[in-house]
Amino acid sequence: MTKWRVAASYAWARFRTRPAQAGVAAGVLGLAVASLVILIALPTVAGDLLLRRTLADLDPSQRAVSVVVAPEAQPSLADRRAIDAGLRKRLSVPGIGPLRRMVEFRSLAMADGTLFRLGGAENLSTMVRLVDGRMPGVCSPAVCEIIAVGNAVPIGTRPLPDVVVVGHVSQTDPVPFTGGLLPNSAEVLLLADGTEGINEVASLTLIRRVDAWVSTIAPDQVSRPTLARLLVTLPAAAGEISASGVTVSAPDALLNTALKRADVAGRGLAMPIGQTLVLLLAMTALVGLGLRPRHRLAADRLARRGADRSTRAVFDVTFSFLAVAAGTALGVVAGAIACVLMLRRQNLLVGATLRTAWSRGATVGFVITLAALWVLTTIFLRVRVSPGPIRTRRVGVSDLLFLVTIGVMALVLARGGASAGNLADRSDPALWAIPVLTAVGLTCLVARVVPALVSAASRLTPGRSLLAKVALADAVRRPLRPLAAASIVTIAVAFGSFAASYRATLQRGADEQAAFVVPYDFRLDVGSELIRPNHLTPLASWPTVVAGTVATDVLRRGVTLRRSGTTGDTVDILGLDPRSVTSLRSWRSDYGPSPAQLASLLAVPAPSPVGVIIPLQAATLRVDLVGSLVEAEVALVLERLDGSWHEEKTTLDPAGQPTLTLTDADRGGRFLGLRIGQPSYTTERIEHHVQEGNSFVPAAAVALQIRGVVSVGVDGDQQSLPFDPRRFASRQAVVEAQPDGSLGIAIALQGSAALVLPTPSDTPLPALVDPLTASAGVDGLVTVDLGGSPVVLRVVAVAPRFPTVSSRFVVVDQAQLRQRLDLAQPGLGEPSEVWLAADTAAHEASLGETLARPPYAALSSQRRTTARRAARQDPLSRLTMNVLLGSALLAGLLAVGSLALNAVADRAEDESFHRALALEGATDRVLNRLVATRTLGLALAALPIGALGGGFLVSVVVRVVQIGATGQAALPPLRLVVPWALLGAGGVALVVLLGLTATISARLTRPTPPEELLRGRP
Amino acid sequence: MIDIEDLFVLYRGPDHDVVALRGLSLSVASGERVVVNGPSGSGKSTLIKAVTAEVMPGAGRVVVLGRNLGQLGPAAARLLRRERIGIITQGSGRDLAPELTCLQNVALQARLSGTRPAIAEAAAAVALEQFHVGHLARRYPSTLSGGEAQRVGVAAALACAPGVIVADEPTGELDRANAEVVYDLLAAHARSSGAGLLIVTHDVAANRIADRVITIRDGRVSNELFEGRSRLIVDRRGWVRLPDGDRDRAGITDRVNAHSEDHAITLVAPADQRSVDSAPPGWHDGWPEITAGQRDASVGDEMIRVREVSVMIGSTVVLSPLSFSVRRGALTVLAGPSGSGKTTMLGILGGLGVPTSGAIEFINGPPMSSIGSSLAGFAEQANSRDNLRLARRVRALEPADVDWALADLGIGHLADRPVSTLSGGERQRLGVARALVTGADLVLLDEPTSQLDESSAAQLAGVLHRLASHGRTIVCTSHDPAIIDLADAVVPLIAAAI
Repeated sequence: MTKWRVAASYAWARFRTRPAQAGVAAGVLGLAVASLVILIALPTVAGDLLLRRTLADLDPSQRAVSVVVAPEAQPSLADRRAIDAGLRKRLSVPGIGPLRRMVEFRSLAMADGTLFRLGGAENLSTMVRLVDGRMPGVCSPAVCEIIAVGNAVPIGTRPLPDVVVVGHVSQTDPVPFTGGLLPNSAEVLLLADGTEGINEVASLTLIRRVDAWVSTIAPDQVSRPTLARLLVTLPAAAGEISASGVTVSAPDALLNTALKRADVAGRGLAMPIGQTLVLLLAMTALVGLGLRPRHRLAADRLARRGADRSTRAVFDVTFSFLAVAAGTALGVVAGAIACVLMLRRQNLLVGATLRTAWSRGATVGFVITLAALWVLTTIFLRVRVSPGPIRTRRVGVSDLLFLVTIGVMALVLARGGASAGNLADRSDPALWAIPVLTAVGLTCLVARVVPALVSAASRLTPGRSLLAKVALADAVRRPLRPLAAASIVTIAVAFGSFAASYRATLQRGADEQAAFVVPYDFRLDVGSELIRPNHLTPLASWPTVVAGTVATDVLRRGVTLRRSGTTGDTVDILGLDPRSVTSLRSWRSDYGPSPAQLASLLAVPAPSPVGVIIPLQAATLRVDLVGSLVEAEVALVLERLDGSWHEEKTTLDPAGQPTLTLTDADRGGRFLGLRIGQPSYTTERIEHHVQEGNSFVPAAAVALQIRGVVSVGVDGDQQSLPFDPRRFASRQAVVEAQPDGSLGIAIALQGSAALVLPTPSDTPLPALVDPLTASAGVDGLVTVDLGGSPVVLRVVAVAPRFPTVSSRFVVVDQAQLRQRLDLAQPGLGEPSEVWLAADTAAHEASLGETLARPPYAALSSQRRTTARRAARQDPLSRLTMNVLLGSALLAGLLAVGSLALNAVADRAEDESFHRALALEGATDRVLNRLVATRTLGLALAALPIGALGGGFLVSVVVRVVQIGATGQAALPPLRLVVPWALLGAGGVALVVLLGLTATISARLTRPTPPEELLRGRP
Repeated sequence: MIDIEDLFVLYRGPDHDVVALRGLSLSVASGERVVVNGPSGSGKSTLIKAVTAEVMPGAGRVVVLGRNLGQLGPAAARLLRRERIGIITQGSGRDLAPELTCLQNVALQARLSGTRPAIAEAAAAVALEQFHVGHLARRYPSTLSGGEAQRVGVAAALACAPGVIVADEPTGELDRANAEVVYDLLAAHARSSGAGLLIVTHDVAANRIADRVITIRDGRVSNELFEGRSRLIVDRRGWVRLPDGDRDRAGITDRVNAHSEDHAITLVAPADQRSVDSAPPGWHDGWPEITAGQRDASVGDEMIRVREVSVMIGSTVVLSPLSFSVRRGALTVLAGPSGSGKTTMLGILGGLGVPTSGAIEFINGPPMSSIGSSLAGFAEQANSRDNLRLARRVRALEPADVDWALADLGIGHLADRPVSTLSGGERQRLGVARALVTGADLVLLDEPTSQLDESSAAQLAGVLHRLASHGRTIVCTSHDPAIIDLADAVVPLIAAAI
């Protein structure tokens, strides 16, 4: 043991007495450890950022947590106070905003019959804005001042004898206005400030009331652990107090989804983390190689003094331990400071985030990594590599390792990609393994290729450039250090080009994902008020709203693709004007044929109009029929001038014939057919029977004979409309053209109805379909079920995806689809979606402003540039980019450091050769040029391998990592983008930088004084 | 203590193996001090390595302190080195750990053997006192002079009271005064501890402390100094190596007639085999008799005139006042023991240093000179030819044929071989070739045969002599009789005065 103590104390003496060397080693290792400390925090930071983003994107009412005491519980005032105290205690947890207590009475009526709903809310002034009058003050059992939301009730009104309205307000915080307190046109909403006073108002003593407590999840106070705790706390709180008739509700599903997304985001960072781990190894290699020459001298000195192997091992291990320990101390402090700064900058909770990040697993991983750094530093200090040149014709360890790496990489690729789905459950080791394996593979490749490259370069260099020829020949004479330097340069170039390419890929991906969701500049859909965009502005009118606007409407429905008699798949069917695909903002070649080609393939002649035209002067339409309408009623199916299909119920004229009074929108339209159903009283009777337990209700047999349809003018003129009974069909009734020219309809009604409409065309529709749907076809024909009617599609093109559709799809001509949908179910063919494209940026801005204002504000509106900006500026996306950029810069720094080390060590190791040249009259400039040429030659040999590695890495990552920068599945999938110009400029800059590094570092060594040239240095 | 019998040591080379020791036999008794002389390449350093078990015998037997080294494993050999053998080199002073004090350095070996710190340091202090450097105990090596450091290094090597002390050029980097001190201390230590002392050196000053002085030639012990006279060694098989001088004087080439009488064998050169060459200088104690002056009147004019040149560093005399001249087309040898200032003088001729006093006169202005050093290295992966071309290139000379130099030095077949595959001797010849191919008027060579075996040294000497006779001016430092024999002029240097 004494000898080991001696070795350890010698190592300590070496470390202590060489502050510069120890400082540089500790500094580099400290940088590595600091990177590790930051890396450990990054997944948590990423997850929390995404969590906050997800929560902030939710409507506040979706984030609401509410506690309701059922009116049946009828708690006393004391009970209420106890519940209030209990709730405040249980729900006083991070992540939940302040609890607002509310009370809500049942609907009441004033003396004039006006319905009102009375309530009280704590901190009333924070949820409303005073419009006129004043905010309520006193609220006692004798008198209670209240405010009215809106101005339907004059100030001074006393809805109850002891309640008086003192002001009008508008709402500012939508969260508390839920349930009965949601403002509506049928009731006036009246609110007192606070709940205690209103609860004790005498006139309300017997009125049933609901006690409620409302709060919201506060995104800026949430971290993953707080949210996870919340998801446990809320049900527990509900369980504890449910006996008192209390119901706790929270958006558990939404929160769980947000939590899962956050987990995915954190785990999705594994790849840049793996990349940074590689850099840690490279840093360790650099430190080991830097310390190695002098350390070996010391170790050899010990050996000459008789130190045995174990003693020398203790010496090596102690020395590397001291370096790693010093680096760890520096790195932990630097990393912690960097983490705190980063968290503060991101406005995250420092303590909570760091506690979460430094979980037991992370701490164990950190310790293991430090141990690995220690072991690796020791190995680099100790490893003995043949001092001679590499024998290029022999299969070496590096070749075998390369093959193993290729094999493991193949296995990793074969097991499939990492999707948001599988990352939700667990981390995917493939993500960090890919950069690690790539780095290992590149290092092996460097060991194999670089010696051959520099040797070939030396051979090919003409004799007149003898200096370069000789310099290159000797570049890998002692292979360990130069090849390590070349490997680090290779990895730096690979990571740099990967970072640049992946960044470009993610940014293009963000653009394409935005364009996938919003194929034009704007996408309008039915909003919460259920208004269709076409109802606000017809397609043709959009250019008059904002000049230069191109509009197209989209008919989107879910249809069934039959797999068997009982099973089917749901497929999205899109009806588009085929010409509209040529205006899509982003179209990728992997979507299928080009837009122009696709437009041509999908184009079909416009469908022939069905039905008969209703004269413009017609006031009513009458159906001449024979048959009893006691058990049936008739509605007419009309197509209005705007192209929409409607069913209008008829009334019976004095002659007992179904008659419909036409509106202006109907006149000039078309009569299409009939809908024969049962009267409402019959339906109600059937329901009554069923509820009474009598499930047997006899069907009503109805037989009608339609002789024709007559339009009756305002002046009583009658005009028979053309009526061809052979063109009608029905899926619910037996329809048959009679010899006398009438249409016979026989139907058994049992709470059902039958549509009698013209027969749809049976010509197959040309369609663009996804590959799976295409595979379901027979002879290129696919049959889908449109509202019960089979429609045959002819597959003219297959594409893996189409904008706006995330699942299986069919794209067809809209006019044809519309008619077939309407014939299956009138009104089903009306588009609900409109895409708008502006011709200039100014018009796009103008269109954006217009759509933000009423009446368009009622629509659901998405803007492509907004979606793109959101994706590009997503904090997680930026974090990923920054990590990639940071690791690339770190790699570049390492490359420069390794080359500098190589050049300096080259000067030292080749001192005798340089001395010989100096004796022959070589100037220092010549010697510097020799070293610089050798170093630069090494770097240049490493560059193409690095570029190759970067290309490989990015193509693998794009293929394997199927999540975008925001932690969600990328749709469309990411497609590799190589920023050639950037890479070219970066390559040139790198060559210049490496050249400068080589030149400057070659000068770092003190030239040998003339008097030492013959003797060598003492 | 040391018993070596019929030892052969072989070094593997890329093309052919080199036999460094060829049946060497030697014994060193307890307390005996043996000094081993011999020209470069004769096998002296290999003998040291064989005794310290750093090389294994190819054949024969090496017994040290009763242990047959041929039967020891690496660990046992290491243990023996650590605990029983004191190894001193010319770099022992440089080999001190700069992070430890002198006391800690000297105690290091004992502590690595498991000795308690107090005991080890007490022994170290005694050792330092023994070598008169006790006052340096708390100092760090970086603060010591070369002589002090070497004495501390010697103390460190001997602190563990070894049974055998081996020293390889222990005073190679010391001035005369310090060298004398180190020899005295080694002798005293061996005497007091009873350890066997084996010193390998070029320095004849070491003979002063020796019980026996032997000479190695061609890997065998050839002769020994006995009562002031050199006598030949006859090994167990009857091999005797005739000194080159005696052989040449007798006109013996490669055949001889032997006649034995009582206590005598007479060797007579056959009439048809006698050498007609002029006799070389005389020999003394197995060494060429060095005499200053011009031997061949046919050499050219005076090129350099050196007058009373001396060099001092601080108070240390590195080169005693020296005067000589160098003539064009002459092979001039600066000969003298280690520490006599040969290399310093060569450096001054090459413009790499300036004398403290005296003057150097270049008769027709400073000539273009080329310097070959035995320490110089090469571009290892480049071939021999490119290395020579590079020497011309750095002087901005036009490309020219360089193969002649390789061919002249017997390494023409290695022109396309990477230098890394050459043996030590081949590299040294390449170094000389590099100095020659620049076409410099003055070629300065520092110990050009230090790593050559005798035949290669003789070949090189012949080349240098021939080049000189063709008009090149060559000055070299050397101990080697092969060169000294053929020199046009020999400048003897004496050890610098204290």
